Amino acid sequence: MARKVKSVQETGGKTGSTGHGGVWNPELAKELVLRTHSTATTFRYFGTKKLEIPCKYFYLAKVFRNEAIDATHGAEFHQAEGFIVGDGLTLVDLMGFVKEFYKKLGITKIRFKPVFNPYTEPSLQAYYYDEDAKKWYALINSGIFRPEALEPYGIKKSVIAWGMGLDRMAVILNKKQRMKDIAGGHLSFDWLKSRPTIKSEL
Amino acid sequence: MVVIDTKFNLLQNLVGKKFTEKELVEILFDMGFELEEKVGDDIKIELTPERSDCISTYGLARAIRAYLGIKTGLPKYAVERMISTCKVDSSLKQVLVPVNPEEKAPWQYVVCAVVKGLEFDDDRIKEVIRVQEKLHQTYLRKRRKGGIGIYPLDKIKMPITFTAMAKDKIKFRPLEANKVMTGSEILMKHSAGREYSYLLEGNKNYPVFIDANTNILSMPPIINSHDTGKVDETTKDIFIECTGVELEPLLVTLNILTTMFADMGGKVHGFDMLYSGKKIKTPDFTTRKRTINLEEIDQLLGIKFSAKDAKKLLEKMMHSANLKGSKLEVESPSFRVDMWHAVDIIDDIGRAYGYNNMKPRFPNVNTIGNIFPETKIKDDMADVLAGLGLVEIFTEALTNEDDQYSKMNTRSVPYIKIPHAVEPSLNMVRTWLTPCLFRSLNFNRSNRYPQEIFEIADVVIPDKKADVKSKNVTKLSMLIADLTANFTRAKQVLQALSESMEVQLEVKAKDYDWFVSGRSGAITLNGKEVGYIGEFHPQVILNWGLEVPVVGFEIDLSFL
Repeated sequence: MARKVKSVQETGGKTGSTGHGGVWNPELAKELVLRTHSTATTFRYFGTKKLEIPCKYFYLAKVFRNEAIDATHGAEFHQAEGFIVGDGLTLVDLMGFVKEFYKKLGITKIRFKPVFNPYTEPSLQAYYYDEDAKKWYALINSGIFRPEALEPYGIKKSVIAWGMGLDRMAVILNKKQRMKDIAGGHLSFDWLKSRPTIKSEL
Repeated sequence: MVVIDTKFNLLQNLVGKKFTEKELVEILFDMGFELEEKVGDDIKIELTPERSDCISTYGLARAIRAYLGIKTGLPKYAVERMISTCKVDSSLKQVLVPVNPEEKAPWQYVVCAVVKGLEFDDDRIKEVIRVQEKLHQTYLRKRRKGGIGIYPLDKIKMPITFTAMAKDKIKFRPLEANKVMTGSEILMKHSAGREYSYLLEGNKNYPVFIDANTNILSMPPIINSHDTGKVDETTKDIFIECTGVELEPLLVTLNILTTMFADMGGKVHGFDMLYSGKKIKTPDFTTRKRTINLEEIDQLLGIKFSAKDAKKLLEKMMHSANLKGSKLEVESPSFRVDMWHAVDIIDDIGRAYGYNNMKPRFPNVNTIGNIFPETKIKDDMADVLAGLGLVEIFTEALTNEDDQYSKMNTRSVPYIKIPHAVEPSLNMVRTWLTPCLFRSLNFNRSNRYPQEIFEIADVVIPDKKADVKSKNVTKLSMLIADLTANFTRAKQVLQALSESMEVQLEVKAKDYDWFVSGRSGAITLNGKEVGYIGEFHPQVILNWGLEVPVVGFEIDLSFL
């Protein structure tokens, strides 16, 4: 696996890509790291070769960033991630999925923006309109996995993937301001007990 | 993300079209960028990291001009002529620079160019300094990957040499200094030297540029010589060099800079870089060529484009395209460093078309939905406990020895350390949940009692056999803090849970450091210990700043 990754990173392997160039250092890659984003787990799952294609998977992950803590940033938070593996999945399919996802959250006013992720191309960020703040916010980042990303795992079908900050979504749904208001061991039990959990609509 | 600071009016002038702030917001959004802020004429624009060609306002205007259809197609840049040579000495291979905390690499690569016929004013000079510094900080990773030097040409006598020299033999007057200093002195006493000393520390020799008169022009990547001077409003011709640990990023950097100066009206001249064993011509404006099939576009975007339409869209993204049968021969500018594969070209077609002009369709993939059995069981357990009146909480996985062990009156067990933790109190990953729940009880000590809480979450313990040398263990921890809390209350919860799960969880007397002696036990399943239950020791309760009795249990859920 390491040889395949090195080959794709440096020269593109068998994908027809030019690769990133540079030198991929396996020693550096072996160093243990608390995952900084959920996509790391998606690729680990690809590595287990347990995928039955076509398939749709999702999961919720705790992720970690080695940064100083302040009013709006913690060292750990949560992401939701999912992917679909199948025939002929394109950008408009990804847009269709994201649009439906937002609809389930009760949001229909959305806009798409091209963005960059090293492992997806094209990549898409979906913004929603916050009526109270009168601003557009990005919630969902997504894309189509690049051939170079899939090649070491032998995945030949198209894969669309999406991810989002779960705490961010909880902040929106609970009509709060910051992640610290809805997540963490410091939360008031009284608030947790008194939150309405049965709602007729989001 | 890379944020650049520039001026609204400058951008407008360079694009060659007037637009309002609102219009600029929309244009940048559709291109994939963002106008972060506008205060008067000052604007902040957020770029994505693969578009380093837009770091200079000239480069960004070039991209916007094409996107708006004002000047589309492949921008042409050319080297007028080769002006001189730069000898690259192999002694540079001994100069080792830390590219990251774990690795060092030789500072052995260099690329050069000259640009003539420029006119500088205060704004242009500020833009050049900004671009140089932004490239240093982002693309060149705080100068660890490379350094840029820009000099007035008139004091430099060609040809030049890039070599390594003993740090005490290097003697020149650096910029912003009033006397000659040696290489060592610069690193110790000069402000730029002190700021970037970590790059050259530990080396006997430092890199230097020397001209044909044996004058030292600079000591990369630290500082230029005062005698060659700084670019000012009288400068007409400049010399640019980029040195560093990898050739490709330096060629890209030189490309971004020379195209910017060419857009300012200058003429670019090249160098033959004489490495031992090979000769490289810089700057390199060679375009990148790739052929794609029309059907590949449909396969990736989900929209059919005619060759004519695809060509027009590519031209809006600064490519040129020619139809050859059912294939498109695409030529991309040398400064587009993000063209690795056909998908990159097709992505550009999508951006030019406009994402919000596309019609979303729900993916036609049929699957049967489900939840992993382990997840379902955990959710059901939480429902049972919530039904018993307990509140579910989620606490942090990162913690410290004091919280995990000292406050719990016990000794540490093997755990996963975080050696370079930015927050010193978060330097390990938890091995059990109970202390995390105690921390929550502490935060809530002024709230109403009883407080009955639980958490079902993962802890991490070292495991030599795993590929990641650790494994996640799912645990359940439950605490009741109440004036009348006792062992029976905890046992009642355990029993209710056990019965609802159809497992026989039993308790046999056992002492633990954190429990009151004689008031605790091990929880067993089929004779095997899977957890502990009891009344917490008064010392533990005091350590956590609490004033009520606390009881509880923690179970390893690996048996599920």
